[in-house]
Amino acid sequence: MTRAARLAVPTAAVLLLVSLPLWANSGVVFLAGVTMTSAVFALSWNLLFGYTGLASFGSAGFFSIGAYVSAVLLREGYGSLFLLVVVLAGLVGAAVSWLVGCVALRRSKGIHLAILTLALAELLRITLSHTRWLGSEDGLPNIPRPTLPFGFVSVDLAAGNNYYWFLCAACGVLTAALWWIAHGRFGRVLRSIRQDPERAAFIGIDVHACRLGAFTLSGGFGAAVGALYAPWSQIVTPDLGSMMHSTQPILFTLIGGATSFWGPMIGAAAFAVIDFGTRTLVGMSEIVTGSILLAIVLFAPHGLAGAWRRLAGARVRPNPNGNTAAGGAIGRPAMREGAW
Amino acid sequence: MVNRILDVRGVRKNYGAFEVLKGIDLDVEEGETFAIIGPNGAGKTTLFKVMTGEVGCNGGQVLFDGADVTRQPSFRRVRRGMGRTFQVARVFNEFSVFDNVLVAVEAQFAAAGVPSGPRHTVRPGSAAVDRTHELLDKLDLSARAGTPAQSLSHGDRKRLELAIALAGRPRILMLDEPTAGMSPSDRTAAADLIRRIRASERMTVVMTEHDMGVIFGLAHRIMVMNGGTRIACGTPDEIRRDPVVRSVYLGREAQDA
Amino acid sequence: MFALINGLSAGMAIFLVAAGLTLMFGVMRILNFAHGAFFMIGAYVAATLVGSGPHSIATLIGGAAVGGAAVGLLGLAVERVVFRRIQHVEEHFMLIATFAVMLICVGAVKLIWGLDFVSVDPPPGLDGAVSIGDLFVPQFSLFVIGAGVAVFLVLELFIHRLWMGKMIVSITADRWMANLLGLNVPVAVTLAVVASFALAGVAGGLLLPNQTLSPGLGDAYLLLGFNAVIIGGLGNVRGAFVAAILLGLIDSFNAVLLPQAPGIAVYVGMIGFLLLRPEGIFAGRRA
Repeated sequence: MTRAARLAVPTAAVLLLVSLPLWANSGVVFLAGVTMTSAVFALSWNLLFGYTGLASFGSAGFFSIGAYVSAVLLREGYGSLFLLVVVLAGLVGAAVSWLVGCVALRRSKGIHLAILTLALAELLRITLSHTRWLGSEDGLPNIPRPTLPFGFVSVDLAAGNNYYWFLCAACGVLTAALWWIAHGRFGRVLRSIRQDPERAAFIGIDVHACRLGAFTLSGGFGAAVGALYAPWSQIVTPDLGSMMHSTQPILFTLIGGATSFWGPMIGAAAFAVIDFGTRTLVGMSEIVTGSILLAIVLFAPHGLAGAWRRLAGARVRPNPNGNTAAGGAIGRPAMREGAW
Repeated sequence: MVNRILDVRGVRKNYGAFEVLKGIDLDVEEGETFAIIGPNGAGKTTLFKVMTGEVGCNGGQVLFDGADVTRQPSFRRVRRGMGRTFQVARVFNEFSVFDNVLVAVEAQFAAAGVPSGPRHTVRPGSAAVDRTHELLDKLDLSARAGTPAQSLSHGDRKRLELAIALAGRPRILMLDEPTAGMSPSDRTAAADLIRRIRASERMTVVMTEHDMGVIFGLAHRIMVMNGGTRIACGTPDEIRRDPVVRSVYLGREAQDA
Repeated sequence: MFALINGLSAGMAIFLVAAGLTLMFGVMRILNFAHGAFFMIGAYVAATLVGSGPHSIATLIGGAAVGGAAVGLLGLAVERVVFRRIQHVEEHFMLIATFAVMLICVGAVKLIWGLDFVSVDPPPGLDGAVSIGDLFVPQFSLFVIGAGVAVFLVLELFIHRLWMGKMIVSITADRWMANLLGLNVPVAVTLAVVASFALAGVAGGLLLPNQTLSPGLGDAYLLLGFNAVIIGGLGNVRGAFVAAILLGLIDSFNAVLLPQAPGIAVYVGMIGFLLLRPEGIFAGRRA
């Protein structure tokens, strides 16, 4: 692929997203906004799974922490400090995540970690649904969209599609930050841990500390994006932390491909299209998504991004054996080691 | 007086009821090459794992450069200057050869507090890149820098692993059967490589090995193990002459030497 | 005392779900996310058969049996198409494959039965309460306890007394060795998997009354089932039995002692267990 073609696809995607309110109806715009937050949420989860080799099934807990922090503060009238609110929500998420990680990562991996995180998120959800000042099971409705002051000018995010564009920018910033982490030195360290934690320890890497770091970052970013989500949907409920919501990033990541940074985003977009396309037929969206997911696990564990990369790679460098699936066959056992 | 860099005192290890190491003592002096030999099941690999921190032990002490590291996890021992390779070379399969070494170099820089370049860019710092190239040159891997590690040949993988171990600037290099699974000519080349590295870095080497040619060509001192105990320890000549060793071990393989 | 009966009944309900789950883990090393969905399908099939007001206990049990059989058959298909092929993929991908199966099932349920809530009344004979001493106990609770104990006893008998069961135990312990001994591993595995699915279906049918059926029904039971399986030690039927009762009691006493926060103690207990005894209460005895 030429450099121009590589730039063309993302540029077109960004233009499409940003220009959406100009030509699509408000339902589509709302869906696009939700998809953007889910996509960043999935990226934050994949920092843990695709980069560090840990699968959390309770990531929605952090998302809901962020959403509640943001909802409460906005309803209390701290709208003008919204940027700070998002940062604060991220910090709260990171702190909780650090605490959980301290306890959970020391002893459990694989299935145990999956179930433990699932149980913790469920505990949070039940606690929220019994906490009266957080609206119990009905959650917190009527979350106002804030007005941001920039020196002399202030931008009212409640007006028109302003919050949508703000969401585009904020998700862009979070994505950039995650990209920077994943591609820098720390990302390299995490990937080495996923491939072979023991070998990583023998080059002097403190595997436990790095896993904890990844867990904390993942929780922090999850909470930050949750904080952005609250004023977009304008209501938060305990179900944001439910198991089904926790499995969303897993879904997106697997559909898109865990070994690629952009995989979760592609997955989120694909999922949104499926969801939108089958919206008239109840249950169809689950069947289609489930089937795609199953097909991916059975035939293409690297997801859409991986399949695309392999196709592209096969064109550039034809393999004499025609065996373009070598990456898949060898890549998987390596991930297995990472899991333990 | 020479510095005693590694000192193992009365190390015991059992897996369940089975005692693999029954109180092993050994000491390694700085700069020497120390080989551990013994028949299969003698406990060499377990001893190796205890010394490097891969597994804990049930009794005894491991002292590294005078400090008690018995309870220290392996990454701390690595940071103190212990480098190791595995019997079956373990490298990061999804990384290129260059990234394999780079991640090890960066880990060493971070542990030693060397700044690894500007933080705002994701590109690795120039000092780390230079050091990586230097190591690749030293181990004749420069031509393969961009190759994914999973498509390397067996010998290249072994050399890459050695490069990864050297990236940690070890004071002692622990090699677990460095020539395992190699053809005779590759073995000679591997032994030459170890000799070259030992000379250029003035490094202490501890190794287990099956190939007597390699052992007697490299080692200054040899320890012979059998059934979880040490049955002899001395210079290659002393070991050759040792009647006990001859009877349990060399009896069968002395011709190879 | 009332809490005790309630707890036992809740525990048995959990066990009914956990039994199949743990059996599946034992033979396939798969923690089946789709189990809750199959439980739900069993419940829907049974509900369709018996209608909203079953005539007798026998109708209810019959409905559960048909539900179990239907889900068992479905399980056979799933085992052939999916589970057999994910045996050697990495653990996380297994979880995700079963999750995909669950999604498909939930979608199918929504397609076939719609989103409306369906509820089934207990049949005559189970709709009242009996008095034991000065205590009124709902008959349905006793029925669930009885059903749970019955399923447990059948499984016990099957696993520890019958040849096929012993074979499954040996596969659970060491598949490679079982293969070496010439045991017919594929057949035994298929049998255990089908049994596991059928159990899910039966459980769905038996627990039908006093339940509102909705496409989200699977989740709540699945999670509690997971808890019991993990606390009991993965793949351990006896452990799951004890753990399920424990969870039921914890939940029930939680409801009495801390009525403002129902459902919390179970998770607290479970998290504690996972951290302190990650291998389960009968650590080391995987049978």
